[in-house]
Amino acid sequence: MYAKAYGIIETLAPLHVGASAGEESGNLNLIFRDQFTQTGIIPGSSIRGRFRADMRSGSEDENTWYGHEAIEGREDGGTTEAIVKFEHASLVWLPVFCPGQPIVWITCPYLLKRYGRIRQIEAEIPDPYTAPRGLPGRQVDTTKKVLFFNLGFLEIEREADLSAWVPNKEGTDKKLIDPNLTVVVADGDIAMLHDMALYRQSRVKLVDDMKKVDTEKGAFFNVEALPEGSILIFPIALKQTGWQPFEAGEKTEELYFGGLESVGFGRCQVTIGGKY
Amino acid sequence: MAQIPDMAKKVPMMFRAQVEGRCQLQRVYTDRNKSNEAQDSERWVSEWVEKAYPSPPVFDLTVQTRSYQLNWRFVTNGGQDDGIIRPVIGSFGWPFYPGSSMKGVFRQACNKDQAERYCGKELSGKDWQPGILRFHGGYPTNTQWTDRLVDIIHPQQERQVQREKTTSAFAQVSLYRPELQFGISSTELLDDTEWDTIWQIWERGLSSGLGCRVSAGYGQVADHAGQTLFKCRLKGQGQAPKLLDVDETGEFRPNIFRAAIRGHALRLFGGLTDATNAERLVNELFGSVQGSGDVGLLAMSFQPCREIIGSYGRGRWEQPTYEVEGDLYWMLNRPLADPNQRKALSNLIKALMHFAMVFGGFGKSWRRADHRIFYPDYAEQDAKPLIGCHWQWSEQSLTRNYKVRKLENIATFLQAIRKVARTWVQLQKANSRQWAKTWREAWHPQNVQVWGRVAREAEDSRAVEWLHGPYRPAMPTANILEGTIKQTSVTGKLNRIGRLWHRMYPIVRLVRNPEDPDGKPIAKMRSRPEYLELLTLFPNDSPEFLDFLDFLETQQTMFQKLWP
Repeated sequence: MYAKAYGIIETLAPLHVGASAGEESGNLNLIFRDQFTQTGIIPGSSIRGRFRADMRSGSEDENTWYGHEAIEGREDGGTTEAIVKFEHASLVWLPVFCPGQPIVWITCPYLLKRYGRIRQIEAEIPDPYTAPRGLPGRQVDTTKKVLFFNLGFLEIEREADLSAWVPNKEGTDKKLIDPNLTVVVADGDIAMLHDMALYRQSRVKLVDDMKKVDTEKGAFFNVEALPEGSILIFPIALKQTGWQPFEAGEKTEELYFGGLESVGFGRCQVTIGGKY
Repeated sequence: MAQIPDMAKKVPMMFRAQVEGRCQLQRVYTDRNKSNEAQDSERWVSEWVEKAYPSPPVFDLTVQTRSYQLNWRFVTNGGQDDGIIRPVIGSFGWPFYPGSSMKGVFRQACNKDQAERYCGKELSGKDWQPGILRFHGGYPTNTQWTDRLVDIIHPQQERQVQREKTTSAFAQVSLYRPELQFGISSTELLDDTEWDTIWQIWERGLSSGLGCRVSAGYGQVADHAGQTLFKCRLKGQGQAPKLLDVDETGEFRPNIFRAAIRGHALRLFGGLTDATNAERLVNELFGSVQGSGDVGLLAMSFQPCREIIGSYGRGRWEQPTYEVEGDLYWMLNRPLADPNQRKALSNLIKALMHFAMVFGGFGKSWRRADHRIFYPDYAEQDAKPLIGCHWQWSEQSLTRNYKVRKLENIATFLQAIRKVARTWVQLQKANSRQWAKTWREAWHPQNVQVWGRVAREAEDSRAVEWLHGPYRPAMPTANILEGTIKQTSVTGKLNRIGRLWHRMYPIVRLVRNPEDPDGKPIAKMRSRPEYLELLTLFPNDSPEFLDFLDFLETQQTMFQKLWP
């Protein structure tokens, strides 16, 4: 009954989708996380809001595709059901920078399972600590292939080609990231490694006319964000086809998600696939 | 978890505890310099850059970009480590100037309407309407940022001016002369003229310096348009400081100007008001972290037009050297509480520069005249350290700044300098009947003497010999003992600061201005100038100093006392 489509998001700048105020810890502005893996997500409502807002500035009728807003005074509210429905975007690959070793993209079986379900991938989900043969390890006096993460030195236990799990660049058979630089880690470990991979920055308000911390109004606050180069996926369901979120014929476009857009966060390349 | 021998020793420096033996990023171990062993900061940095991506992140086509060359170092503190200033590390290991900092700088350079349109407007009820611009931050445009990341900080004001004290150097991580590309995009389609305005605002923002430590010459772009209070062109030569790397790379560091001028301000104020007030005035002028901190009124920037890093000496005496010429700018760093004091402030900075140039040099060994010029007999010997530096005004700045060309001018010159400084003291309501009596080098008639003579040529320097041999040979028949100040508290020795400055200040020639023959004459440097050989003494009551003063007063005729 529903047409199934999906969106792939590649972050081109740090992406900060903030958690609700109750989840803030001290002066660290946390990102919104999935409750099982504790990795960053973009809620479906944020994705929907962005698409809807972009269609509003175009000619198409946003109310048709995304549902009619409530009309004041009407008994049933006047709302209609949207034709296009979004689910949250979850991570597929997350780049981790660690001194002294190549940047590697990590994922875990739980995240791959969702990706595989959305993309209808038949291949078996790889076990934790699987990496392709071509992955360069760290030079640390051992015959095993080893990488350092904030958990310690982790050994690659199995070798497998992971390229089936890496999405292509739109319109090409090139992969979005180098499949040789990918590692599957355990579901239980990814939260810690995600912590290490996040982009972090301290911010502070300065007084208006000189370079000095505004101690009356401002305090240091830290912001975290998914780093650029992260790959996420979200499913889309449509009650009818013909949805045209981008310019005619385009399957991919740059969109801004999340907060702090005015300071360079949130720039993403979004590619839509499937049937829509 | 993998089984690896000596695992703890292989953990990347970035993930180690900040304790001794693991990774003390800010600490400089002096013994490691001697044994050619890398400092923790060096190892940290080399691990960082090893696998960082080889090409810079690229802004999308919808983002407008411009690149700017910085004239020296640059750092914006990431705030992720305690105890050390180091850059924000962005995607794939590239250092990054955050968009949030960029927006802050931009907003400050806007007028009210611009700020509201571009950066956002406060609505009622603490709500905000967003601005139309996005600030994407800045990245270095090439991989040269990986060189010379480890920077050094060595605070020594107390030791130089106030009292004997051992000071230590600290490490900091900053980028050396990066070219940075900045990106701005808009949520609305803008025409070219509006983009021009936007970049003009950004360039106005740039002139206030990027990142931190801007008042010490960090984060300054090559062509800036700040609020210049005083500008001059200088040239000089001397010993270049060594960086902390194993190769001990030499670097000309423009913050020597700031350190010298700050020190002289403290000396002059210390002779005019009490110690507390003098320190307060200097903190206000140059900034401090005392109490809630002061942002200094003065920022500086040095734009070299010629810079040669060479070396001097052999073996363990080998020293990196610099030969440099360039424009030094002193700028207003923040608004004055009373805008009418601007003139007094530019007079003050001008006076401090003149004072610095007449009586000493800048940077290492600034209390000594460059032995390579003024004492070649010494300098040409093997196994001798490099001593001294030599600075002079460049041709363009000579006429306006030379100030003294006769011994008699020194007293009036000093009187004028002290008057300018006193005006500032009074304007800042820092008067006191006291002066900083306990300081080593407070500039007060009871604490300092200036002696001088005219040297007919560079090698006619007399006092330089006294630094290396007796000023008075022993004459046993007349019952006269040898007199020497070598290696005493007068001259100091390695790691001990002396109480004598020796300066060879070139005497300019005044000629008719070809462009304005009836106007004031202009100053020219002779190809073989004469010099004012100036000795500045801060006597203590040690026997060797009393003996030396007695010698100057009664047993010689070359030098005459010029002040007080």
